[in-house]
Amino acid sequence: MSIENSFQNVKKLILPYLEDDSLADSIEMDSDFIKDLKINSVHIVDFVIDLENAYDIVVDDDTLSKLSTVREVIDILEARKPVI
Amino acid sequence: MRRVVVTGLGVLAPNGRNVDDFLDSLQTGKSGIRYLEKLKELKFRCHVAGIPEMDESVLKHFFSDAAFQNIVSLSIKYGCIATQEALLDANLPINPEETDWDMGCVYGHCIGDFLAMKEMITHVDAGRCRNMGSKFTSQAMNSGPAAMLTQLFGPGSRVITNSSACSTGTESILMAYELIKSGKALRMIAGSAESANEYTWGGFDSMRVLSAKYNDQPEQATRPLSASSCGFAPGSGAATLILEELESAQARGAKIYCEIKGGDYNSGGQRNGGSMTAPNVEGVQRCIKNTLDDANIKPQDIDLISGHLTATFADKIEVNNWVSALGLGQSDFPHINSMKSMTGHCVGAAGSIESVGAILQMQHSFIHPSLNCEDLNPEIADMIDPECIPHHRIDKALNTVISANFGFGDVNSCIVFQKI
Repeated sequence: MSIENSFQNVKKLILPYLEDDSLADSIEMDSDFIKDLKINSVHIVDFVIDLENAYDIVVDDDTLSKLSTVREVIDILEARKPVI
Repeated sequence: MRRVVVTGLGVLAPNGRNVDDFLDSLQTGKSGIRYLEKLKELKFRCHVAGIPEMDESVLKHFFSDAAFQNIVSLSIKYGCIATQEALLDANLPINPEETDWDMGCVYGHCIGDFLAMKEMITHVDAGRCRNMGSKFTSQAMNSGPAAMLTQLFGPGSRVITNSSACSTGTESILMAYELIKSGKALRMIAGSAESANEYTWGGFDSMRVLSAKYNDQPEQATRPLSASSCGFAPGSGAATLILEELESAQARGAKIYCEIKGGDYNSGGQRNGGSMTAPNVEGVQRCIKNTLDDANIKPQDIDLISGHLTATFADKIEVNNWVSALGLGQSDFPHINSMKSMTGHCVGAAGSIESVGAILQMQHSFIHPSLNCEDLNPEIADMIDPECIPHHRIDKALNTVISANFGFGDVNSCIVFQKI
């Protein structure tokens, strides 16, 4: 799966947590969950749970606590790809 | 002394999707009780209940989908819908940018929403605790409805959840009334909600207090004041009243429905016949008398009693309490009716739904029929003139209406609404 595909999938998982629907079109790789997308920290946890379920992965607590941008989420997904 | 008035109404009742719909049901005697196959499948004795027809889309005019993401609690949804309607009715802002420091909220909730609790229990028992996130904890709180109302509508004064069994709804209005009277707030969101689910109702079914003889005739199932009453039909829903300090309401040109003239809430202390499930009659009568004192009215001023009257053996005890406390009887007892004959018993939401109904009857000059009591309980007929109990709508100007609720734990509440 390409990075662009991952980005589109992650974007879909973010959408339910946008308090302001108009921010949907502004989601970019470098969007900050709190500063740019106005998602509160509790809902970031909910988003990560949805991510874990969607990709059957586990995001550890340290990684979760440092997570701030969409790009960092994509990095997590890329890191789990097996090296061929 | 500050005077407190009602400037907004909202309701989601088994027989009303909103205030206009509820008014129409009260005027036409429309029952909201229906058959539920699920209760039969679960081997309940009672197979009927009152569940509101909920239109969640009304909330989307003002709030994003994110605000209601993962909300499973019906009491939260019911409370939000009723409160939005009440604030719109009062011409107050919805979803304001800023906290309203002059507005508080007392929102009652009797039994925490089992639908949210079930999610938590299911996740934890299945070893999926980490999958819950923030989804359910705030919904399982008994203060879940008040917390959500705060998120949506921004009250910044006292925000309280009260919980006093079937007395909850009237008590919430009285607590809000007291906060305005004492100068703690200029306006209050006051009301209560109760979820619709088999877990809340199962306990009552097992106690043999639910109606089980009219499962094939749902609209006949709730029979307050009747010789053939056999228990209550469980109900659910929410209602909200916007209360305001009189001068503040007048200054902003608010529509005023009525004044809250006074009220009382107390307990019989579970002594002298009072218990976890039965009232100490002295406590009930003191509550009614204290209400009249607080409202500074005489028993003869009362045009209508909106009774608690659940359709159990306690109806005749309640009527006797009204007779004794008011000192009125066969010749001068006022009209009395039971809204539960149409809505069933909405538990924590009963008092607020019935208060909205009481105000609507006063506003539109009618007394709603008390359904299913053509075979009046003879012991009640011995106490009051049967003509006091309307079987059909009576069109009549009402100046003063008194409403009461009594609950498990031996708690009582009583309130007087009067035209201004």
